Amino acid sequence: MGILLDATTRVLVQGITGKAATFHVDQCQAYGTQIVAGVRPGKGGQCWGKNVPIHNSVKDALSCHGVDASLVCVPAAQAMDALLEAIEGKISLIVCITEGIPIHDMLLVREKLAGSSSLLIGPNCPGIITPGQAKLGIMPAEIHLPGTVGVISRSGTLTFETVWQLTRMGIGQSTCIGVGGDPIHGLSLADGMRLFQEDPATEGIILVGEIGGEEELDAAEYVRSHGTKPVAAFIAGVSAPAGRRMGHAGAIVSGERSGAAHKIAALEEAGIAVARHPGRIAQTFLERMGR
Amino acid sequence: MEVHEFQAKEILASHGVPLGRRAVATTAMEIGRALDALGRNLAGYVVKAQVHSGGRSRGHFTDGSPGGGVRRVATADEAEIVAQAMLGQRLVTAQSGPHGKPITAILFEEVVATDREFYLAIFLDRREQLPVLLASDRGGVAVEGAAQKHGILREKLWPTVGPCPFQLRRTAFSLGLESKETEFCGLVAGMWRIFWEKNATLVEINPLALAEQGNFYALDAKISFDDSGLTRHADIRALRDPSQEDGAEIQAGDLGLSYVTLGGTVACLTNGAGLAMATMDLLHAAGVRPVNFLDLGDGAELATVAQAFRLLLAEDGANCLLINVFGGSMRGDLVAAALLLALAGKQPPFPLLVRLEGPAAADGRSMLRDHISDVKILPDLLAVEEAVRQIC
Repeated sequence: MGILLDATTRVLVQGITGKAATFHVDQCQAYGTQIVAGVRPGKGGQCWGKNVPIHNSVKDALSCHGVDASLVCVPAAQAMDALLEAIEGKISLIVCITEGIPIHDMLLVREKLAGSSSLLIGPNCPGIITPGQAKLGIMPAEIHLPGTVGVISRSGTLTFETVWQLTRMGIGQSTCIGVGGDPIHGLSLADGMRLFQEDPATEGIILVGEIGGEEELDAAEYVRSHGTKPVAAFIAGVSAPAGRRMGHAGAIVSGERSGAAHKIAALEEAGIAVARHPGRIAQTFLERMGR
Repeated sequence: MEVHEFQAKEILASHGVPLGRRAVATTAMEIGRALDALGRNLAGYVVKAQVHSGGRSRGHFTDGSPGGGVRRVATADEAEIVAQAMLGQRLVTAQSGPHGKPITAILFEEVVATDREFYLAIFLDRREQLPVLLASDRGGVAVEGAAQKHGILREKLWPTVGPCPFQLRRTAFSLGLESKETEFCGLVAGMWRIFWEKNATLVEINPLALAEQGNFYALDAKISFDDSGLTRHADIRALRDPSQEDGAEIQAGDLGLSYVTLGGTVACLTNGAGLAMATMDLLHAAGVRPVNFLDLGDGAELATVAQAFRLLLAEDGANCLLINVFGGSMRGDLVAAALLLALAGKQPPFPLLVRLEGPAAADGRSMLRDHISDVKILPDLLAVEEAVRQIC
């Protein structure tokens, strides 16, 4: 079954009438996701597709439908407003695909998210899919296979890469999540590791990280202290040239800790098998499983 | 987006942060006038090359002339000679890359006799997912070592509130600035307004000097801005200096693509930062260097992808073109059509390696197989590495 999302999840789409949103929501619906309503200010009362009612606000939508999750496909300039509206509506799961949201807007969203009952995935992420059940996001559905491996990643395309390797080996996935590439975002890698650890339907976990930030270290620490399931990982950016430095502050705050070598060492210390080649992520997982 | 030190100082000055006397020259003609405006009878001058790179004082010039990018001299005449020699040169620093950055402006400042020097910054801390105020009583280059050894003062800031008086008081007291609390608080308030109102991700003053006569001076400063916030700030956008960026990187940036020139032999078209990085890693493992890092993103249109291919086909030193695309929204037939558009009926000047997955990938692969004579279609990343080893 997997985490956070399944075939019974009732989904609201904010910004449902946009061109890209229309394409992706169509794909989500075709995969089996229950799209119960959409929001587009000014188009309330109309329908999206055959039978999805459009409302002027999240509040209007919530007064007519039970909603478990919102997919936010609103352009970057208005995305903060849409996210705050979803948080105000106490929607349990919010998935935001939008790229290019100003960092400071996300700082405000984070502040409202703390202490709220909502969980945010993204922004700037591929979303979440529970194969065979439902998907909320822009990932190509056909590469997935229902199963018991949880996949969590900072990178959209590397999530696809990992999933495709698993599927071609006949290994299915419980749920796959891309947490997004923006510096300020919702669900962290460590949060995801905890959810998979606590999910009885997930038997093993693959974590895909990259250089920058320190989330992988927190995920490694979680696995070291709480993990009982086999975990494999890949860290992209081993060969990356030393990046532009963020003044002295960058070096003071994270320094070496955000580099690939430090992350790989921390993951291995936590008992995680780290693939050294992006083409061997699934194979490394299999070896870790002892199959 | 990065700005020059003199631009950062103008922004700080307009937000009430105290600065010393200074003047800027962007042409050889302006050098004399800038020194006239600053005053020709000061006790000493600092001449500072303006480039988008740290480590300037220990940098060197590409023509081999002596001295770093930050020089202290005694007289205005000396300052003029040093500045004339610097302007138009390229300065290579530990952070600038081997070709260095062109010096398009010179900042002149009065030497200030300082009593104590501090480090002060407001920085976006990814781990905390919050802005933080960082401070140390050891300013200048010493701060990094001091931070490792003794730690650094750190206050997490609430975005909707900003620095609270109690946090500033605490910091001022820890820095031994009890008698200067009011000035210190005013200074940090100005830094916070820049950070918050201008969508900055870093506002750093290092060193912040306390002069012998008791005034603060921001001796050096760095401000970075969030690219996604720039649409709201025409005044900040106007500060961009394209000469500090690589030509192909600028063109790609204008198309909304992320592009970094790396100077190797395999030109790469990839989508998504993670896959782009993993592709670089794979090439390095095969003992081959990439020409570039290119993240196409997932929503690029045909014309944009075609333009990206034109950039790659024009790169000097390439002897192979690698397409490694795993589409979510990106269609494989669009990628293939974009390459054919960029080639305009010609064959590519070097072999093509293709790893294409995602929507309409099979169509894309067969289009490339039909139109390009020297093409290898590869099933996965292991095959990509093997093919790269064979060709390069």
